[in-house]
Amino acid sequence: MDISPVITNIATVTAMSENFDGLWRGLMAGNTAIRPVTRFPVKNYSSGVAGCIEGLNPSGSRSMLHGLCGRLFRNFGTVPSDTRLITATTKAGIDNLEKVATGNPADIQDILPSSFPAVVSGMLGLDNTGFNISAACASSTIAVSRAAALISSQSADAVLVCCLDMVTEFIFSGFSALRALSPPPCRPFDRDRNGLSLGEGAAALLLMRRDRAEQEGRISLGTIRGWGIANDATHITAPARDGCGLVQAVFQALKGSGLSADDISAVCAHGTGTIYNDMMEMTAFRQIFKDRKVPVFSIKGAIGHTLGAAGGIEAAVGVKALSCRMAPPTIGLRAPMDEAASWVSSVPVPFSGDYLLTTNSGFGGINAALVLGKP
Amino acid sequence: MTIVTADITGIGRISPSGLWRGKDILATGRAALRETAMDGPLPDIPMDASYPAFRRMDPYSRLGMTAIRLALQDAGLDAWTEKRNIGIIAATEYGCLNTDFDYFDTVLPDSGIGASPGLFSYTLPSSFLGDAAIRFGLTGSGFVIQEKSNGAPTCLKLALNALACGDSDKMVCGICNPEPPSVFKKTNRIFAGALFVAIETTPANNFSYGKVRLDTTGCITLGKDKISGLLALVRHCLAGL
Repeated sequence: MDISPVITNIATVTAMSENFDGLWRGLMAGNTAIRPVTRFPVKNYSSGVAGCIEGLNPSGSRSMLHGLCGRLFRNFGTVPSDTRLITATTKAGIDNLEKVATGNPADIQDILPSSFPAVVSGMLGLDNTGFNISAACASSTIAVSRAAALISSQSADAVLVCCLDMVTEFIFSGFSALRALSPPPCRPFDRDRNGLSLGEGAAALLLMRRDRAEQEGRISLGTIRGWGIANDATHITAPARDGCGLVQAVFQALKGSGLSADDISAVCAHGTGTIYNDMMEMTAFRQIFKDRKVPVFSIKGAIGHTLGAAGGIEAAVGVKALSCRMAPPTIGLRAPMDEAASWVSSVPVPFSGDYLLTTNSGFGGINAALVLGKP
Repeated sequence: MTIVTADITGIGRISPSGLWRGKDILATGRAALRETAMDGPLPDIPMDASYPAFRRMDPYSRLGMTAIRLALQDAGLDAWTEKRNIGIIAATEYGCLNTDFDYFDTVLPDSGIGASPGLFSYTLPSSFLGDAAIRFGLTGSGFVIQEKSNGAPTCLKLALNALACGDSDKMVCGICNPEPPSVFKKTNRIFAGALFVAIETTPANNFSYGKVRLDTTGCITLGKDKISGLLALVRHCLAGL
């Protein structure tokens, strides 16, 4: 019996588009949504650009989190009330902490990450309030992996994964202070890359046991075949130069899926555009795939780095890429770094095969990988 | 139907009444088991001489990392020469929110010019898991969970589920709750301090406080006792020996 969880519903809201189809079309057209930031003053920061969602702005005492969730589920379809809920975010309604700190009215509950699943649960009328996962930029990748683990172990029939993070001055100033921001829009895997661009976004993925999905007449869009999570255990903010944690996470995901590296047809990489992340990833991919140059792409040049939402949005893109058998272009790429030459492309790349790997890495040395399969 | 059974092999606790390991309780006649002081200031956290970076960690991270160290010591898993696939799952309510406020106080005065990168590095509730991974050579999964029903055994369920899926054969899971920021009124349900347990499918040091079992309904039992939370689990573990 195939116990791989199936993905039946997908939604995204990003700076590129209000919906997932628009995101995919924008990616394939080579567009970028990284633009000058107008939400807060940026004159003292090392960059002035980010991927901000049009019309999403602070107002009143509620966090922007509420408005973003509302947009996300506008056309998501029905979610059974017994669906378990796992959310993922690094900073939830951190915009409300800014309001508190500046003496403006704010609902302080929105600051707590635990408020995020409560908001989603209430919005969808679920039986449970769920929980949030926070693991830096691998948060939603890990959330998807936990959802898949719950279904595979028969602990749950259906799990909704919902993730988001927003561009706020809190976040922007921090990455600027760490000198991690690229002044121009980021250029993942490019030899002239100079840092990341922040973005904001949200994603929702409904995972189900295959038989439950069939009973409900839901169409499988893709499957979660395997997952892996590993820590570098080397440095708190910088990735391990030898990619040890990412390699461990990928091999764990492959082992769990009963596949080998030869079965992977494309990779949706973390690809932030920082010197060390992209180098670490290519070091890891070259260990995993040896001499086989698998199509590797990053979407962060199109929508920015959406932090805790990145893994969920990228899993959605990975599912679509598999169904179209097409790797979207890496936006911002002009001349690939030597280590990525013939792996990454600035134009769409067709591929054959049934499995795609997505990976994310983050602060604290965390790495996570998912093996996605065809429906 | 049982998903997994595993042994509780280590306990580390920091509460208003002090710092202790499970075997400390066994050695002192379980007096500390009667502790009921959930309120009051938490004790000073001693520096970790084996980890110089401990000095730059925020109070929340020090609290969590120290409780993890106590649990690993109790399980005999703290010493290492090669990295191990041991994962950590921590539950928290307020997490690093005090540090968030401290960090943003460095942003406001000069429109961001003075933003502190050192403080910003600890504005993720999961940062201390990275420190623990470095300090103890832990390469397994590591993440923090937040939920409204703080005190529920979700982190324990997730740890057992990770063992069941073969993600690793050893996990550390627990709760880490510092004092809440002043804008939040302290609620009774908040668990003050930190409590972590080490769980192993095959105990490395031939010692167990008891065997926990997770079934497909999400029910956790220790022996015949249903476990409603991590504190209850530890009380059952120590009472049973």
